[in-house]
Amino acid sequence: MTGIISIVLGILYLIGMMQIELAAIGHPHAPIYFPSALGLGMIGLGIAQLIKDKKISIHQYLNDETIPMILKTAGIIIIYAVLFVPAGYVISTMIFMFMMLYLFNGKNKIKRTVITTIIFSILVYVVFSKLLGVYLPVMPFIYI
Amino acid sequence: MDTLGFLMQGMGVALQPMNLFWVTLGGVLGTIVGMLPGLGPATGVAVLLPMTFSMGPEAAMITMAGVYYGAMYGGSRSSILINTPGDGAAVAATFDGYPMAKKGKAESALAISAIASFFGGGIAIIFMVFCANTVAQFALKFGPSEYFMLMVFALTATAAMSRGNMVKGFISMIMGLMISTVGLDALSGVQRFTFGIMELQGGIDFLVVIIAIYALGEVFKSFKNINKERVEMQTKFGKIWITKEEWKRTKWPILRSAPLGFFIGALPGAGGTMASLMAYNNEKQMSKHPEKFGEGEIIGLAAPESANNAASVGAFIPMLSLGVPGSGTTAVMMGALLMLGIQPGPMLFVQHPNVAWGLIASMFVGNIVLAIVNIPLAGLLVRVLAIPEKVLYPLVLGLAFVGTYAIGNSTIDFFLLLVFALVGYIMNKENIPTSPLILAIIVGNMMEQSFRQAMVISNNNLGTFLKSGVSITLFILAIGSVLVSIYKTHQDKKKFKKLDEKNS
Repeated sequence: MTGIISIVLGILYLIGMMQIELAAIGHPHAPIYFPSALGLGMIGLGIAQLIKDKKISIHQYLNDETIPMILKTAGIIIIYAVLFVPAGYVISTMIFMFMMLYLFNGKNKIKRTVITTIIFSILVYVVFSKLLGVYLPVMPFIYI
Repeated sequence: MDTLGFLMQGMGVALQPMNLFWVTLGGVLGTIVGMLPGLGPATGVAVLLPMTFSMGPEAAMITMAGVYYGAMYGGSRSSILINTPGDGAAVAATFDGYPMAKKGKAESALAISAIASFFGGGIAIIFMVFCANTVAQFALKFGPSEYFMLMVFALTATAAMSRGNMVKGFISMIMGLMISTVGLDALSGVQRFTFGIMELQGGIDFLVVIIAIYALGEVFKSFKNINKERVEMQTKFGKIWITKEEWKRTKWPILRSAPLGFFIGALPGAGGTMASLMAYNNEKQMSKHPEKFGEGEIIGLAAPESANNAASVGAFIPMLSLGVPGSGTTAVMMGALLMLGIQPGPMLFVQHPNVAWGLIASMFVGNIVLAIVNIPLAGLLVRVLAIPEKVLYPLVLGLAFVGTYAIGNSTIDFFLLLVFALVGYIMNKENIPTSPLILAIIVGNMMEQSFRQAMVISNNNLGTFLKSGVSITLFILAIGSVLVSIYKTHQDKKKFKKLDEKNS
C-alpha cells in the first residue's frame, strides 16, 4: 500500500501547491520550487515502491483488531478538543480521562478509574498551572 | 577563553542550587518515563517539555538533559526486569539482562547497567567537551550552500539507515519536508498549504508531530497487546551492586564501548539502538566464550549500556554545534530551544555560551546524580513498572494533551495531534520509519531557506552547491551513505539466502 499512498499524497500535494499565490518579492515562482520538487519526488518514490512491492494488499488493515479502539479513542479526543476551552482544563480532562480509562478497563475496576481520573486531573492542573505557570483554561464562574 | 575556561563557566551555571534541583528532578522523572514499556527518551522529553516553559533557557535545557539522561538509564530497567525495552536503545539490554534477572542476578544486572551507563556517559561527555566547540568553530565558516548540503547529508544518511527499506526511508523524509512547507513562506510572506486556516499560518509545530507519533502512536500500538498478561516481575531486591570479579570482567568492555557509542551517536540518524547493538556484537566477537552471550553474560549487558549512553551524548554534537539534530530526542530538545528563542548551531557557542556550556557541564553533574539515584533507589523506582498498562497509557495521553496545549495554546493542535497519530499508525503498519520524517520536519524550513539564499547569491547557478570543498565532501558523504546502505542490504540478502539454503 505504501506505493499507492505515496502517489496519492504526491498528487494531492501538487494540487494544493497550485493554489499558492505568486510572490510579490523576489522571483514570483520561488515559493513553489521546493514544494514542486517534493510532490514530484513523492510520486517518483511511490512508483518505485509500487514496482518493488509488485502487489497491493490491504489485508493488514482489514484484519486489524485495533481499529475499533483507535476510532473510539479518536472520538474521545474530538470530544476533549471541543470541551477543552469552554469547560476548562479540570472538568474536560476529568471527562476525557474517565472515558479513556473506561475504554481501556471497561466496567471492571470502576473505583480505580474514578480515583485515577480525579487525582490526575487535579494534580496536573496544580503542577502545571499553579507551580510551573503553564496557561490552562479555567471553567467560567468556578475558575478551575 | 579556552575550552576548559568555558567548561568552568558552564559548571558555574550547572552547580547553581536551583539547576541542581532541576537536573535531579528531570533525571528522576526521565528514569520513570524511560522505564515505561514503549516510552523512550523522545517521548519522555516531549511529554515533560511543558515543565520547562516557565524556566529560563539554561534551566530548561538542563532539565531536559536530565530527563533525556534519566530516560536512557530507565530504559534498560524494564528490559532487565520484564524483558520489555523502554525504547530501541534498550533492546540490547534484554539479550543478557533479562536472563541475568531470571537466574537470580537482577541486583548485579541493575547495578552494572547503571555503572556502565555512568562510565559510558562520562567518557562521552569528555569527548564532547573537546569536539563540540571545534565543530562549531569549523561550522562558522559555512555559507547557505554548505548548510543546504549539510542538511541534505543529514537527511539522506537518516533515510538510508532504513536498510532494506530505503525507499520507505526517503518517502518518510519527503513527508516530513512536505509538512515543513505548511505556513507562511519566510522569504516571500506567501501562504502555503494553509487552506484559509489562520492557525496554520505559523506552520505545523514539529513538537506536535513528535508528541503525536511518539506518545499517541505508542498508545495506538499498545492496543494490540493491552489484554496480554505481563511477565511476572521481581519486586524485592538485595543489595544492588556488583562483585569485584564482575567489575574486572566488565571494565574494559565498558571503556571500549563508550567511544564507539559516542561516534555513532554523533552521526545523523544512527543513534543509541545501532550503537548498543554494535557494542554487543563487538564484545561477542571478541569474547572467548561467545556462546555465553544471550544466556546472562554480564559483558553482554555492560557493553551496550555503556554505548547507548555515550551515543545519547554524541547526539548532542550535531544539534548544538551545527543546528541539525542527530536523534529524535535531540530533535525535541532543539524544539525546546527554538521555543525559547535560541537557535542551536555554531553561533550558539558565541551568542549563548551560558546555555551551551551550562548544558554540557550539567551532563557531568546529571550523570553523577543519576548514578546516585539509580543504584540505591533502583528497587524503589522499578515499582513504577507494576502500574498496569491499562492505567498508564491513558495517563500518557493526558500528559501529551497538556504538553500540546502548552505549546500553542490552541485546541486546533489537538486535531493535528490526532491526524499525525493516525499518520504514525499507518507508517507503523506500512513499515515506514519515522525518524527521517521527524528530522525532515525540523530541518525542512532551514533547508529550503538555505537553498533559496544560495540560489539568490549565486544568481540561480546550481553549481554553487558543489563549489567549496565542504559542500563537495558533504555531497560525497550523502551519496556514500546511500551506496553503503545498498551494499549492506545486498550483503544481508546474500546471508539470508545462504542461511535458507543451509536450513532446507
